[in-house]
Amino acid sequence: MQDFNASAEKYIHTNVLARQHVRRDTDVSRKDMACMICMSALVMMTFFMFLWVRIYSLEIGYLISDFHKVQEELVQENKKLKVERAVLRSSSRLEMIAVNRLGMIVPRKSQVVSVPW
Amino acid sequence: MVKMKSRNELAKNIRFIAMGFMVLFAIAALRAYFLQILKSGELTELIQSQCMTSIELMPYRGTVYDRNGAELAASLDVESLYARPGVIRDPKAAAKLLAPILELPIHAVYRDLMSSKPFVWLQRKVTPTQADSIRALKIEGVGFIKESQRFYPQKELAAQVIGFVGIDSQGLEGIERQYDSIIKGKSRKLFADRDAKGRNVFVEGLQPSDQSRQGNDLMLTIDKNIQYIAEKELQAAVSQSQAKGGTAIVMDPMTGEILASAVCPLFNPNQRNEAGPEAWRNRAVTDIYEPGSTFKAVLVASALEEGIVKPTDMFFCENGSYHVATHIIHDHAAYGWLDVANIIKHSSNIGASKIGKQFGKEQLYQYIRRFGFTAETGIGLPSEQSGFMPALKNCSEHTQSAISFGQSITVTPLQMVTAYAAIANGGMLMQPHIVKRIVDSTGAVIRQNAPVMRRQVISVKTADIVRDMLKQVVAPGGTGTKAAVDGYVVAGKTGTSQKIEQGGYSHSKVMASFIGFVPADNPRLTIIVLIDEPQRMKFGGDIAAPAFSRMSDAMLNYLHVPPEPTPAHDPGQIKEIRTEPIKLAKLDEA
Repeated sequence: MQDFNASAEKYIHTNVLARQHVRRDTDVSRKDMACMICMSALVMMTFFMFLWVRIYSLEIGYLISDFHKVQEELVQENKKLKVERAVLRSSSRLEMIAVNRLGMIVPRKSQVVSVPW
Repeated sequence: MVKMKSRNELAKNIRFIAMGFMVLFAIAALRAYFLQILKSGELTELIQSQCMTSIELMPYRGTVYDRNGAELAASLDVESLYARPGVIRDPKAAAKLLAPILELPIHAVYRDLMSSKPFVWLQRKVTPTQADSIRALKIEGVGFIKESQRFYPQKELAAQVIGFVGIDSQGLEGIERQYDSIIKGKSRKLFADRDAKGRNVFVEGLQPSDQSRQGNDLMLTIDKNIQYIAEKELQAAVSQSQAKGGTAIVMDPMTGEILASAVCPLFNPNQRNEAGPEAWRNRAVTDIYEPGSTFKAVLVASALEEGIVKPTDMFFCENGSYHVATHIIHDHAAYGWLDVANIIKHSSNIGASKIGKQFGKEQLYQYIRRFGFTAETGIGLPSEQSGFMPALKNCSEHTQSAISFGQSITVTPLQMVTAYAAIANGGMLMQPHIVKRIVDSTGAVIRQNAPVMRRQVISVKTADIVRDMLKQVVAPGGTGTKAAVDGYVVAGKTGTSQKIEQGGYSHSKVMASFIGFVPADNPRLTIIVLIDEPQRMKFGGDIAAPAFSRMSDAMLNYLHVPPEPTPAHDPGQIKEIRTEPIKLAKLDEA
């Protein structure tokens, strides 16, 4: 009986406690795993975030490039139009149209009345 | 004991590892210093050449405006055609295709395409139509580069004042040359990343705009409409008299602003090579001439100011012929006794000579210089001449006499109009200027040229007396009656001076001129009209005075200067004035 008790005690001591110990180790490993997954997710998210920012920045870069071209073209167009306007408003051209096309003349002094302010 | 030993070893190891890290860190720091500081420029260039591209942004030459903001000169981008001869597969075929579009001989284009150089210009600044046609050919090794081209939208208007630029947009004449450094701008590089397809990507956005790329704009004091009137009437006078050329300047006597500066013959700066350098010259400042009788007003103003003569003083004009030393001075008519006003009115050389004699030589020279002669006006136009007067020690009795009626002294038209402006405005010699302001690309004013009085040459009282005398010149019986303007009182003086030819005075070549201001008592315009070598109507009173009249009339109308209150134009009686019905007629009848 004593031997039985002793062997049972030994069994409990070696196996049951050992099993308990194993169970405790498994708990810790799951926590670490969860932590690692979270960390990995975070890293991945940061990476994707960086990637997204980088791609977005690239897209914006292309957009800026396109807009820069458009801006240059519009500036040139604006300048061309200003020059064209200046040509159309030149005194010689206006006089030619006024006299030849519209039949206008410079009024004589007697045809001008000065209105006092 | 064992425990202690192991602790010491652990500490030793940690120190060793720390030392190792420190050494590594030091190496890294040194390397970073080497790369970031010492080799920074070189490496930046290397990285830029590998994965960055620089876009050359051409400088924008500033615009030149008239006083009301009308463009007189502006720059536009145009394309220039280049070729890379080594890349072109069939130069002969390419030359045959390109030559007709470029309007060049085939052999000339072929020669360029066969050049040993890696890059050749085929034609700089082609037209948009030419560029489109060539682009459609899709010839490998032929391409376009954008360059700046200067355009003068008003064509001939104020061409000699504005000048023009060369093929590389450098100012060559006129304002373009004088203010080249201010308006030309600077080229700038814009850096961008380059992707695998060679496209530009502005990952870090555009750099802040560099204002220096855009040259500054110039706003001139010129009024394009007044300039047009001056040019038109000058051209008419030159044609009518079959003259070699002419000059007209319009100045605001109160401010010294040049409202117009016309030179005939005209040229179109867009096609400047069609006219020669003779036409490019701005004769208003580069040419000198003997002013003749127009100088008498300066003499009389000086004599009155100095108190040498009084307006009522009488001078005997020797019935038209007067001996001075070994020379004989003539008048165009035989005059007896004339007062100072009549000497001006009838333009008596003998009378002027006798007034001049009252001066000491030094005194006369001093007044001439005070009126701004023999020195550049400082208007800010290239190649301005200062004029010439014999050195004081070489001034004989005859020279002094000749200077009194405008011979033996040379002046520029600008100096003359400035001197008359001083008489017009009450004796203030104003600094003539043609640039009103300089504005940067943001619109901020960099420089504003305000009116500057250089000195008070004569008193207001003297100026008033001379003004009244000059009014008499245009009144009936004077030499300048054709300068009269209906509705306004004109003050001015005619001049006809012989040109110097082969060391003596020419008998056939003259300079006919009229200088005056209007309205005489409240002057808005001082105008000089100078006709060079008229073949018909050789007197200033016959050709220059009528041109002055037509210019003044149109300019005063344009400036809305109301006619002076003469009986016919009294504002108080305005309701009683009946206006004639406006009829449509040809411009010549107006």
